[in-house]
Amino acid sequence: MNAGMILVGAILTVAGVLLLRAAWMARRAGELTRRRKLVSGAWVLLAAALAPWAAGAGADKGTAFAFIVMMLAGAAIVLREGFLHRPARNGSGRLEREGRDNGNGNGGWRLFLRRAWVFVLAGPLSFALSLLLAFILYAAWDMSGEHAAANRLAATLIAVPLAWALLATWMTCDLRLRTRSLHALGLVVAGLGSAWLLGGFA
Amino acid sequence: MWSRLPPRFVANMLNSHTVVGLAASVLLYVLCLSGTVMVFHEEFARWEQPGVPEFLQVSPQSVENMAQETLAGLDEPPHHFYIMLPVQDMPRMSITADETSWYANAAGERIARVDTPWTTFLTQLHYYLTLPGVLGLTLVGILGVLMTALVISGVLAHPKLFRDAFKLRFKGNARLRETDTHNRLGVWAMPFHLVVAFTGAALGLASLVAVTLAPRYSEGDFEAFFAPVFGEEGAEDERPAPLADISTALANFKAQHPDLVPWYVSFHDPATVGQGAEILAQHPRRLVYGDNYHFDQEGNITGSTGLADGALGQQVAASLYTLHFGSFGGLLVKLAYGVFGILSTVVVASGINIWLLKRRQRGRPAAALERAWKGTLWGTPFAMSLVLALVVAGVNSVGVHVAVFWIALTGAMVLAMALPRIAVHDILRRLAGALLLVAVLAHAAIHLDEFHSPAAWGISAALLVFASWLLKPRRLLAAWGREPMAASR
Repeated sequence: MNAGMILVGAILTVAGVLLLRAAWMARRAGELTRRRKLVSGAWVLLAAALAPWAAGAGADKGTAFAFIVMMLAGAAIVLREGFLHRPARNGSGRLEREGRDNGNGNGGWRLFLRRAWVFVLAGPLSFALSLLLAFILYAAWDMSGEHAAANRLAATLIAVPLAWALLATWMTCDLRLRTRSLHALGLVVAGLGSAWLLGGFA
Repeated sequence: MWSRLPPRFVANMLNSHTVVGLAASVLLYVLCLSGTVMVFHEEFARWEQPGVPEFLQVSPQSVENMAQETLAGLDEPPHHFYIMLPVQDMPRMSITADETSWYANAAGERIARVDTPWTTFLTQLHYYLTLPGVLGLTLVGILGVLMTALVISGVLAHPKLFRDAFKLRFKGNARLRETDTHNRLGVWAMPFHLVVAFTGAALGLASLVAVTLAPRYSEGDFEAFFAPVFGEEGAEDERPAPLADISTALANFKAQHPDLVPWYVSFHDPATVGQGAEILAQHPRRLVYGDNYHFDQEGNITGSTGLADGALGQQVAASLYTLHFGSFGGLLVKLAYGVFGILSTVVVASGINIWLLKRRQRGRPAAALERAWKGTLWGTPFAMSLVLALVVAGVNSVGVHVAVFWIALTGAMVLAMALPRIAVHDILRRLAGALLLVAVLAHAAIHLDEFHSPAAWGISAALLVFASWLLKPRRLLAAWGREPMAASR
């Protein structure tokens, strides 16, 4: 590893985060033109920092280092902001948007069954759908390349949790439960059909 | 672009974030806290046996002698046999025959059994949530999926992601503080949360994917299913043969790959005609945990598995481990992962705090749940500290550790719920601090004459700092504000 390049990468990354912070201050002061320039400069610095990071520590490891330094710098600045912040005189402040409270305890069996169905949609059904995706990937993957078997396996190992996470997000969102159920049913039909057409169950 | 997300879509994502967060809360918190400690599992292993010699250089002949002597002393030939060579993160040498491991000195003399019950407990807790094998791994994988879903919905539910990037208000009303803390720390450590959650999910669910697909694609053979990425063991032939030449293999490897760091020398069916022998080597400029270099009977390097330079899929799969555990950049990266791990536990805790506060402010307080959550927040470090104290006291059964941990955590939650007039969480916090303090002091007294490992000093110092924070929290928390939820009372 090249310590000099790593140091340059670290300096550029921290400078990029500091510019983002300066842009945030400019926005608060109402200087929108200056803010735009600072934001652009910040992203240019953060992107440019990847080059010395890659040269100093390798492309993949250097990128990981860059993210670590960016997160540390951002977290340090925002924590400092938290400790220095003075509360408004009336002790209140504007709240950010938050999730709805789902804690209605008066629904009885109907509410229990709704929740149980949401669990089925986001849990077992979403998992089954992500496994269906794995079958489709395995059946449809072009196996002619030298590394096809390894790439297919790795892609499947990555696709299953990613698909499940996306489906779980969708199945627990605030759409009508009937709509979500229809989406799930559609995906099951499409998935089974694709897998059957591709010979995934042969 | 982010701020133009349709309000309805944002509301959908917020709902998903709340539902999934509530479903995963307790176990996710246990996983985040144990994972934070787990980052330093090598340092803890060194702390548990601080007198074992540490060194970075060892001669190939010493390794060879140790392997030959160990093998000769075994009652039965082992199926798996491997030597861990000293590296920067773990400057010790050990040798393992199936289930038994010994540390050795630089001359290759075995000096002590590897005996690390605390590290074993930590591994059981974080890898498996103490459940058996694939079941535990799968549950942890599912929690990884839920955490990934939380990161996705959390980001999509946050239209002012960049506008509010630096706004954090510790002082003020409790709900404001918890919301700001959750959002800011969640956003700034988001790449970490996403990577750790996703890699954990992929590693945890790999077995389940294999169970599903292997019957169709590899005739139910799991090893063959994973072979395209990790390679497979050769055909068995148990007729006796000399152990493959380790010292020549290490010398050849060093000559051919001077930039790589040999880490493990491992054998499958050692000293048989069908033995498989390989050197696992670290690639200092890569994220992959290493690559396996095979060697033959005479010690000639015959090829590699390709984890570092083979298929893209192999390289990605071999990077999942280092990315998850932060083991790709030495102590500095581990410390950074430790900080991010603490942030992730704070994000999980503040997420549920927000939900509880909101209920209270809307006139529907869940007082018992609030107390149970506080019992969980402080009961988890209490239960872990209790296990650590038991280990130092010489109670080395992992079964006992697992039972004590869950009984202590469940008891903490139940007591917190059942005793509304007593600040159980406060008692738990102080008890955790006291147990840690006693454990560190007792450990120092027991190992007074052999406290050689720098990592042992570091771990003891870190535990003392944490213990004093637990014992005297009010002074430190004064800068932050009042305790969570106290303001709403």
